[in-house]
Amino acid sequence: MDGWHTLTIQSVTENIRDIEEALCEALNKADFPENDIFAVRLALDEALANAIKHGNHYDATKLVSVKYRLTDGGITIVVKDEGAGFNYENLPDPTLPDRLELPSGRGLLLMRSYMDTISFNAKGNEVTMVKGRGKST
Amino acid sequence: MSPMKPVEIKVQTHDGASLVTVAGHLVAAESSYLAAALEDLIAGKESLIIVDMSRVKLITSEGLGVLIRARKDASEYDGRLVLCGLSGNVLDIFKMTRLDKVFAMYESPAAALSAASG
Repeated sequence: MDGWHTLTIQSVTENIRDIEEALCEALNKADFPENDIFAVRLALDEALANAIKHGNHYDATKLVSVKYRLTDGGITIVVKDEGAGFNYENLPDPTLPDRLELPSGRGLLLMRSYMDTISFNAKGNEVTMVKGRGKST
Repeated sequence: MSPMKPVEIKVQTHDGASLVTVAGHLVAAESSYLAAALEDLIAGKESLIIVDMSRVKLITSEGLGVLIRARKDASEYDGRLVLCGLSGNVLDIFKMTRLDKVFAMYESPAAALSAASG
């Protein structure tokens, strides 16, 4: 059960589905609770959409890699794109009244809310997300 | 790897209101289907669009963005987009993002229709 697995997709939004299904199937087989699978699917969708949209700018020749490691205690997922990276520290709060009706900017909030920890590399093109088994969000 | 079943969207229009029933996961790869359905209704200047979310299992920021854009576009011709049937994890996402303060929400399509006509 230990060990890292790597999946790679071209930067096409429809490809997100295959990655989500693979990871959720792995969690399901390992008997993770439904709420954990919900949280991972949500955070993974946000991370992959960000990588394809903001990282690789929908350039299908660029790749997004997903590494994951499943243990009895939880799952660690690393999503990396080929982009220049972004400054994740200065993103405005999407729940502020003047931003509430904007159609975008909620991805990071949801990732932080549903995973136990998320962290970025210095460049800002790789996010690591950790979800412990059975831990409430 | 078995592909996830795409989101299912059904549109019914009668008595001056359109009911959009959504089932499945409103995630990045699927939200464009809802966007297309709502854009058609908005192009036709539907006065009341009710989106039934009772069979939505998951919504991400892409899906939320589609609903926010459609609500704004409808408001530009004095149309309304309201939601109904939210519960569980999906309702939690609306509360967490404070979008429960933005959208009018009802228990059922009938309740939404009743509120609009009352």
